[in-house]
Amino acid sequence: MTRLTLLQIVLLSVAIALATTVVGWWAVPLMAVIWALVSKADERPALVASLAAGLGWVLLLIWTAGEGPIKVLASRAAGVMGVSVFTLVFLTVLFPMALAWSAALLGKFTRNAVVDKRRRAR
Amino acid sequence: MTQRAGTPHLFAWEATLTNTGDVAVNAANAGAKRAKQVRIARVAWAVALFGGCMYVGARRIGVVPALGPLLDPANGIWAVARSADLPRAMSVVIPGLEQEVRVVYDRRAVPHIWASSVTDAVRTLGYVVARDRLFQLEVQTRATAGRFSEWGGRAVLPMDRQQRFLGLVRSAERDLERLDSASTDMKLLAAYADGVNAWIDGMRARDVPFEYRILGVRPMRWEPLYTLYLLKRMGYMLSYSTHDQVRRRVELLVGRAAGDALFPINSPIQQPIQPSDRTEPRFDFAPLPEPQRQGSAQEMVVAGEGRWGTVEDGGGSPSPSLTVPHQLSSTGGAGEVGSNNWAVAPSRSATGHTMLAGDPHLELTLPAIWYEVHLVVPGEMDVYGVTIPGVPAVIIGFNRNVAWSFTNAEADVVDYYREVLDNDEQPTEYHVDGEWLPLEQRIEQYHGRKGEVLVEDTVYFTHRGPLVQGDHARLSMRWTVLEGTGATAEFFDVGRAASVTEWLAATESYVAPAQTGAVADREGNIAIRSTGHFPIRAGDGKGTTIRAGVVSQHDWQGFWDVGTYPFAINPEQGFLASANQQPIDPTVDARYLGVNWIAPWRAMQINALLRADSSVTAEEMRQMQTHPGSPRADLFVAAFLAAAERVLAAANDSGLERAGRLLAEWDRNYTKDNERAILFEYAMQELVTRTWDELETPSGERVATPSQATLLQLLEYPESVWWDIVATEDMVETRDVILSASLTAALDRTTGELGQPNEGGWRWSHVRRANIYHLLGFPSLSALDLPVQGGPSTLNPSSGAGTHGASWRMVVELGPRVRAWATYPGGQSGNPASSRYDDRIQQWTDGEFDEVLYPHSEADLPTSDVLAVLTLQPGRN
Repeated sequence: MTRLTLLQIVLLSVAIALATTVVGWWAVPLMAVIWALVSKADERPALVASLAAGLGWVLLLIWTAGEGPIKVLASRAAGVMGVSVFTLVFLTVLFPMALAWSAALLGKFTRNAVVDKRRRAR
Repeated sequence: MTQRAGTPHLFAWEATLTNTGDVAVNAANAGAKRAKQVRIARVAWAVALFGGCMYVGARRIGVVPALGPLLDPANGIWAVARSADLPRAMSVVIPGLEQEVRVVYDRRAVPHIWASSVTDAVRTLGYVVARDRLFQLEVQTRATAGRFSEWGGRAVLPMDRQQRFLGLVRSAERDLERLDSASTDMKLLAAYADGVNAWIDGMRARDVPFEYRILGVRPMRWEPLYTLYLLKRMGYMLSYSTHDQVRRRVELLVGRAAGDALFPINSPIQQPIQPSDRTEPRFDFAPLPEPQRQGSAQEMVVAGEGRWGTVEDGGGSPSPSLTVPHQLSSTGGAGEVGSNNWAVAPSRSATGHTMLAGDPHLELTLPAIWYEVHLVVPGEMDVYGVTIPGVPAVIIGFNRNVAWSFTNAEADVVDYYREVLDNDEQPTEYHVDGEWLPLEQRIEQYHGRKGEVLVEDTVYFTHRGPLVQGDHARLSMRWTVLEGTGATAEFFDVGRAASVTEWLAATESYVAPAQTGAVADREGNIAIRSTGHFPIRAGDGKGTTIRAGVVSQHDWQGFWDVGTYPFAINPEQGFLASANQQPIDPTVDARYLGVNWIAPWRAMQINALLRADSSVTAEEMRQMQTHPGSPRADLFVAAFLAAAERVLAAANDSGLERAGRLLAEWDRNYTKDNERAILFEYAMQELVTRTWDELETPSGERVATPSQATLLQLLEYPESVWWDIVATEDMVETRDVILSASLTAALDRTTGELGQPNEGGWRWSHVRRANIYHLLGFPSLSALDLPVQGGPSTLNPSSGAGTHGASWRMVVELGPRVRAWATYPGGQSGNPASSRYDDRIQQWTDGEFDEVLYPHSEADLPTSDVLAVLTLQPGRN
């Protein structure tokens, strides 16, 4: 993984975290699609978006942990859902990753289709 | 598949899958057709994955909520952690507020509200209660309104339908319609609703309670009507009864005379609330009439077709009667739940100050049913105590001059009437005094999660109340709770009373549910009164039978005059107490007030403890509330041991000898580590089962269980036919045989289930625990298996399931400086992530208290005792 890719992931994760705070979980596919549309073809936008989304939500969890008793909450919430705390946290990270990855893929397909069309038109 | 130089291996798979540029190059070599197929497959895969993620993200699937809003760490369930603790200082603008209001949360998270007007205080109360208990507010509302189907769909419809057929919503709506918009009641209700809605409107994402996220629903706005729902719900919990119908089943099994004796109008043990001239309890024992078995009737009960029996029809003659509805609650039993209160005059207190203690026993829930608060409007009100979320007033508590607490009066305030209808399936009229009168019809619609109508019911009302459906007959129900409960102004006046006299005046108009209020003031006065609407009935005045509805003479004739309520003030004995027992000695006032009273074990215990102590302290009153002893144990243990001794004198029985020896070792206390109490409790269960076999249907279901005061009464008659076990036709059992057999069986059961004595399995805390369930029953949000001191019929009675108990414990000393100690099982916050969610439970299980902070002003609260400060500013409407 290149430094540039790492930087992209970090920046995108912060953007996704901020956007999630403002508009909610919809921010994840939205940001992933935007990223896929603006990134270059060889930048593996789906993977970057996926990692950034997971990292973004991890950042939000860390921020929440600093703001309140997240351990107690995790324990109680996991109990209600009938899963372990690990599973709950894992789901919380996995869900945005899958969402961002698939959204970015679609974004990239769209972008490539448009580029191909323009190329053929030329 | 190639990997570019320098590309990390991790990325290879994505490059393969997504790099359409490479694919295009390869396609030129391998063929355009294959490239196109690959591209389509990849697009399809991406679309499917994205669609799947969006679907589970946005849509609820079965009981699994939409994952997007749920797992979102900024706005979803995780965000609840960020609102777990109160911010140290916060200022908000509240529409409708007249002046700035300061709310100071003390170290126990109790809000002290300083407002300049009563409506501002109430508006703020609504705000702070909503902030801490919003979900609870809505659950209570939906429970009364029968609107859970909007959350849970068809699965919860039966619960909703049952609730709506009670007519509580219609009654609340009528109460609201009757309120003048300029009345104090209406202003209080509206101000409270404004406060709740101000919180809802200003909620940030993180403030939305945990449970809403799990259910995937949004909070609904609060209406003044919902407070009336809550008052109706209190009435439902405390005074709804199907006793008349249970009694019908008993009569079918054992006859009317036996039924009257088993479930008597007057308790066989008299320790009344209104003190009589006796200091000791009186035992009014008499032989029980023999059961008049009615084989065919038994069969009908089992078949659910008990259509024949006696109904008061004006002349008192038997007439064809009714169907007995299924799912009747049994009555009596060990009296495992109940509330206590008592007041001590200065003459008997160690400090020379008046003192009061109260511990209402209710269903234990998390969040707790109570919310602790201090309301101050300078010059008008300075009241501290507990409110139920949804009620804009302190219900139990104290002010600078007066302290009070309630127990349930247990009065009979429900009657049933068998109605004759023009059409059983779709009735429009009912018959009274030779005329057909129109039935009021109310269409009840039940909505699902999306607002769709699931079912429609028609609920019918006579002038008496709602029609309830039996198997083959319709009964109308008259119930004081449906006839106006008064409203919140009374509670407000109670909180502002400056003396016992003013307090009594403030509660005169109280309607339902009937309560016994103990009150004390700083001038040294104590009083107690059972208050509420007590019906005056026609004929013999009793409310134990289902009456024929065709005669209007059977209607209630009015209600008791307040001046005749069970009452005492400043008695010579220097204390007053109530514990749900029969309020007046029938030799003093024989009017019918209720039936099948809870055995007065707790009342006997309180009276004995207070009588034995002429210098009561607050600490002793605290200890009394969890006292581990009970007269029930004292009396029944003696009976078991005496019977065992007599039986063993006639024949050897090693099992009985051992059981008797082990029981004799019991100190008759239900302490947590006690290892003999369980043997006694099992022996009592065996005794009840063996004794009341006449009340069982052939399928083995006992239709009702007489009070254990009646059982004690029966012990006086060793040859009574009630001791004989019906199933053993070839022998006749007597009292001693049954007591001995019960004790031996109890030992077998105890050792079988819990091992040998002294191995730890018999510890009381091992078998009897408190269980405080979350409102939705989630175990991880509940506090379960809590060891507690106390057992059946102790002052801290524990029920078998452990789901009921002291919902609030309070001791108040009304000296020059009012001091109070209190706790409840739970915490102030309804947020499961908050340390205040259940922070008082350990204290409660230990029987300990906090001394509450009751400052005169904000400055009186030391900074170290301040948890948070909330300033509410007036805003535009």
